[in-house]
Amino acid sequence: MEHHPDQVCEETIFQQIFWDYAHRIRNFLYYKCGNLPLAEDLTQEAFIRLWNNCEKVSYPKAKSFLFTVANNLFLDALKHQKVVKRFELSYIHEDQNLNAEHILEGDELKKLIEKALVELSEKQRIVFLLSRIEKMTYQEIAELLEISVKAVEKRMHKALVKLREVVEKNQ
Amino acid sequence: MAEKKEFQEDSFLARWLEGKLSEEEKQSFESTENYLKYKELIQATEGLTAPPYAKEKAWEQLKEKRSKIRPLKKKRQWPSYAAAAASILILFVAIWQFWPTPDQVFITQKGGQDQIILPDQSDVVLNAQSRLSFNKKRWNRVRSVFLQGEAFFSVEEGQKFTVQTPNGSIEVLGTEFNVWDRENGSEIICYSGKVKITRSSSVKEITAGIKATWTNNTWQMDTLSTNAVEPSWTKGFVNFDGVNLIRVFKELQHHYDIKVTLSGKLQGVYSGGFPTNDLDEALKNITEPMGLSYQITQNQEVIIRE
Repeated sequence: MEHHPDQVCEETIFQQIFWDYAHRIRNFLYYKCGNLPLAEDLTQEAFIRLWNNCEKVSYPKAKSFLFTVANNLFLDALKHQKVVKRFELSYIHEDQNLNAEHILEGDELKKLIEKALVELSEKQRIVFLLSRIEKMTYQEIAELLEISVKAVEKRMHKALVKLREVVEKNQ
Repeated sequence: MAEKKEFQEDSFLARWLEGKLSEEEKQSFESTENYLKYKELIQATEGLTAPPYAKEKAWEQLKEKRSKIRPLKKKRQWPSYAAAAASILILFVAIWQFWPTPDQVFITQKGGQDQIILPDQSDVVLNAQSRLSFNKKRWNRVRSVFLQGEAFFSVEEGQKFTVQTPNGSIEVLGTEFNVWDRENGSEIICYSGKVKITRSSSVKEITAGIKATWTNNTWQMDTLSTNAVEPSWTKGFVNFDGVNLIRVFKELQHHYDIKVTLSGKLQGVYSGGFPTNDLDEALKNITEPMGLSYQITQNQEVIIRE
């Protein structure tokens, strides 16, 4: 398949990139900042920047461009505003459309984990959530964050120890 | 008492999660008092997902914001007359090529179904509560459609044909396949030829008679139990083979203008099917084998009980 440098400027390609990556960028930002509206605003901003630079960013580079911009936007937001972190995760088989009675057990522990996530460092949290929720391998996380696999493993380990401690303290 | 470090090594738990501990390490870890706590934590994060994302809405917002900005144009250092001549030529070609033509959009309501012939004579049957769009002009360059919901495709041989869905994309050359893509999951059944499926960073190829299910960020591959050449819903009957009961009722809601309420913790796996033109028959088909009962209220609400 041939890739022209300005392919990203083409509507279908841009839309495809959006469908493929928007939720991943959004979740990536959410795991970092713990603030859903902010994560979604920054996701929009990241795609606007991609559009603005669509002639300079080739199609294969679009993904890493988006993640890099998203990360910079996050760091910038951190500098300029105090972000209140709150994590609200749900189990995949919970069904909002059908009935509220379908709440699974283990919800107590889930709430404790959500609370404890706030106390992890951002570096530990992003690794932990990319691994546990996005099901990414350590290798994939290492490539995304541009750190070594060893560093990913260390953060994962630390995240889990910290989570265990905080959950225990709040139990 | 001096405090002993909990772990000898600072990536121990990461290796444990990957199943990379030695037998010895594993045994000694499993005998520690914190082992169960870690196990419990990991189990509790199993199947967790981020809050839902209204991607369609986000895309509309993005388009609106973007329309206020133009992509940057590169400056070219050309002699002015050549540039002028070239730009006139480019202008004509561009007007002809890129004059925006609106997307063709097909939307089916609850209980509806639609048959669509694509510009290359490929055939699509769109199931209830689904949306398919494509651009006629763009078609000559890329065979690509957008789908939300469910559709059965019979694609004419030719260059790459792509189905974009909220959960990822599906690529084929010329084949017959069914795509179901709603909420957090999707399911692709290949009836002939070969289908390539992309979901976030994971790519899978399936051949005829294989069903690929993508939920909770993982794949499940099954072999079809029948020799069907097309999905039964195109003939007015929706079939399930070992599917979560909740999905069955959601599917029912796509085909009938009803709201299903489950009373109590109903769970289970259903195999069977329902007709799309007879609500009573459909409800009987689902509830009877599962030992459930149903009641239809005046305002088209269906209550399912144990």
